[in-house]
Amino acid sequence: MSDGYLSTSTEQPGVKTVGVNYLNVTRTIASWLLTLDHKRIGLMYLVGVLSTFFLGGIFALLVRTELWSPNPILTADPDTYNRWFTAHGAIMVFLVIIPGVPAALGNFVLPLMLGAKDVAFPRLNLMSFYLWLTGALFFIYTLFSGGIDTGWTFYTPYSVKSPSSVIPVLTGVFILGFSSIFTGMNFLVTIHKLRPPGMTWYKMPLFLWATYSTAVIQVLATPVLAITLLLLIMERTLGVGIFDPAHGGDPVLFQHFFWFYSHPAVYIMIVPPMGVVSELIAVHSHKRIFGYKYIAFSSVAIAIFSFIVWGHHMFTSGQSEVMNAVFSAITFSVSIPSAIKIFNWLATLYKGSIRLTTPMLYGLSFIFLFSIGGLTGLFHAVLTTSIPLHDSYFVVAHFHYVMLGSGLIGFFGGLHHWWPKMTGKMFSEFWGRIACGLIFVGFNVTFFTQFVMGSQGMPRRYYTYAQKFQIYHQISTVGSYIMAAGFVLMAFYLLQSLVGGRKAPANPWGGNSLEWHTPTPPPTENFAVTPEATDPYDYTELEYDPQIDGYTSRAHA
Amino acid sequence: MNSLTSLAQSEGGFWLPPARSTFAQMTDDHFFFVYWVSVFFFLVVVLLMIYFMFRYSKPAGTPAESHVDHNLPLEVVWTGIPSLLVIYMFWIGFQGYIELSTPPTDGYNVHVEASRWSWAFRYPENGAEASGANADLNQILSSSETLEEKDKQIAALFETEGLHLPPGVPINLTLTSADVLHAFYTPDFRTKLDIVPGRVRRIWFEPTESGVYALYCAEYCGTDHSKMRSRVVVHETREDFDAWLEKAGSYDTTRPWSELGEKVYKRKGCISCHSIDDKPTNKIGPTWKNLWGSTRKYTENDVMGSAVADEDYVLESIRDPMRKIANGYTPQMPIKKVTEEEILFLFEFMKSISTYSDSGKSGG
Repeated sequence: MSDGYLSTSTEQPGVKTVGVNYLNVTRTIASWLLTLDHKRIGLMYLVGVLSTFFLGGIFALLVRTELWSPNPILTADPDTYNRWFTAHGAIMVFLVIIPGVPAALGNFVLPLMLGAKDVAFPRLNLMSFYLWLTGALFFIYTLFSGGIDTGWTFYTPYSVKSPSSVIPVLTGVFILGFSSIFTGMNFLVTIHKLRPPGMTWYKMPLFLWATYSTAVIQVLATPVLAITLLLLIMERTLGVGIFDPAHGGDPVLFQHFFWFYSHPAVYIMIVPPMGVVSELIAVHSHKRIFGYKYIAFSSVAIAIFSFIVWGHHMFTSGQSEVMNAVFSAITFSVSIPSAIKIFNWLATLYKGSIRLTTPMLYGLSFIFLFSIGGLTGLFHAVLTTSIPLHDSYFVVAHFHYVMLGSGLIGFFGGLHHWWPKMTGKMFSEFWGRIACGLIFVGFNVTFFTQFVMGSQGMPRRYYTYAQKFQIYHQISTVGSYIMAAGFVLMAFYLLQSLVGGRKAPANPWGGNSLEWHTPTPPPTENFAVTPEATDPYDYTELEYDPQIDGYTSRAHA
Repeated sequence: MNSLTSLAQSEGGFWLPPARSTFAQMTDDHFFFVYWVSVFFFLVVVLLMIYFMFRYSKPAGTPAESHVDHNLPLEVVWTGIPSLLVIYMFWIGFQGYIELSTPPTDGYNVHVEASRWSWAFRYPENGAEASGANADLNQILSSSETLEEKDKQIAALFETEGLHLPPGVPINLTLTSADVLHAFYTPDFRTKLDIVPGRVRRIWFEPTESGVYALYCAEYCGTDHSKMRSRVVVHETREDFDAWLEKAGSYDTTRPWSELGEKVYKRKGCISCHSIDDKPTNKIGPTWKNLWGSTRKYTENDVMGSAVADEDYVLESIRDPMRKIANGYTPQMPIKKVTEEEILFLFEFMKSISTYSDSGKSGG
């Protein structure tokens, strides 16, 4: 009963739909730009996110290269350096990581996992992409109009006084916020209303739980950022006193508003990749996920706690001692659901049938890097140790372990996992593993060093520094080059796979969530017949077929 | 936490710089407690992961050995133990924090004023003032001298400048900012506090050993944020400190005013934004070289104007810096506390580095 819809698979001879899929059904540029197909919108997001990742990466390399020596290397002007690190941070946070998993991968995968034809509001979905694009154009405009030097946090009153292009970037972030809110609303409604027959909440793939939790944060927290940025724009243009004491405002108020969004935003960046990793670990271990409900509810718990810990960014800012104590206590509560996820993933590996494919290597890298990223968060939650480490390279290292080492590694894991489904092509496993290795090693060389340098007293956002920190900076810079080599290699073999890659089977890894039950690449309408829910973590009915290097349903064979 | 004291390295080590304040030791104990807990959990997770990764690596198509998907006792254990540990971590951090946010009543008071991009230290006891001397410090640090030579020059510089402190007593600092956010950060004392414009912040610590320690600005404040660094000098004895204080409290009026003016130029941080040579620099304000007596073009309330840089013009520029903005510059200059006497010194200093005609000499 359950596999009737498999019959449209391109592997099935004699079916009319052979060869027609969402990629080639229409070929005009307009058919892409005006598409309402979630898969095409997802791909456009993916191209956008990867392009801006490249741009943000260039700025990262400029920053790391300049820091090779305390004396000028690339520029003798500290303002130029300040604009580089601001561009790096703002691009990576607002254009890459926040939309990365939800908007790029989520758009493609979420309706497929639900066996749905599309998201609930396809037009809104297209609009959120164009909002993203508009926001990105504001960023690009800023780069050409001299850049912005406030840091991605836009702290007042410096951001009120800074002579750089603050307003275009704030406008860009404001617009990007709406892109994020629309995606979140779309996903919330889609998950509520478009689940297939038989898919109760507890039969949803964990990626959907993660996306759902994230969508709640996106919808509730992002408006606070929007209004904060609007107030800042008003202060800069009209001189209304809100955040700048020179106009009668309070700079600490800005920090409260900013982190009330931006702390939950950390979970917008990390919870979806956690959802990806839950899929990667289970599918590539070919074993039922361990502790399904614990992982699912830990996503929900993180989403809830994320709203009440923002003050831990402000332990030295001048908020009251009582608030510091309260925020410290609540902050620890976030560590527990994160730890639960890690232990459950480990237990999933136990007695599995593990294949060390490229996506799996990213999944395992995630566990390694997120362990470090999470545990080093404890140092910032303990009030006494937080004070010297705050605003040092220790915190820089910590959030790179979380945002790049976990967030983006999860994203790239998902990208490899669903690449065959998206493009219909297999990438080179050999080069995939090598690139993953380079990125993993380069990442640790870059950022582990920064923990040591930070605890030794190196402050962040420094153009020049004391001689004793040079050796750490040099190691870190070498690491960033290794990492860059890994990403360049990835770009090459992924692009190569588009032209010369082996044709992907419908189910190359042996997953059992619904996206693996439709042809590769999927047809525009996703499924010929509305499918019934599968048990996404039951792999017993799948059989490996060496001829196609993929999995087929036993019932079918 | 006494049992853990042995873990901390007061001389500094791989992770931490030397601990040089009374609560640095405690902070380090907490650091290493969290550190070892983290190392333990990291090793458990990663070693198990690596073991499973190889032990259960199977050829494609092999079914998993087990499909067990939950175990309540296990979930309780790995939720419970970390929960207890983090509760303990919160508790030690909280207790320590109470201690370090309760300033003693008998401390020695110094006022710290931060502005872009300089520090000023003022002593209520006798009105003495010292600068962070970060411009001179940066010049020494970026010179091509040997490390030993640099150290010597830095030591000489901070015989007079820097945050000088008496030994063996708690230090109470009040901190204000003239413009944007800054942060007072001394890694060796394990202290950090954001300095918020419009507020008076307080911090205290007690150095345990005399010496010269790094002071950084840790909150990003624009162009020369990374050059906003100075030194804290903890004297050997109270007598040493008192001698320094007395000297710092007075301008040596037997010296020419132009020379005293140069001291004001450095102490009040004018040096951070105004150069005194005519080389192109990336400083944020106009150079003072040949400024005196020259005709200045400016914008006032969006109206262009011009004036000769004389006593009145310079006085107004110091007292009300946002009023007339010299063409080619942005309105960024903070209002500094400069006495009339010091302004007189500055006049002479500016004259001494300018060639100008008599017509500009007086405002009359």
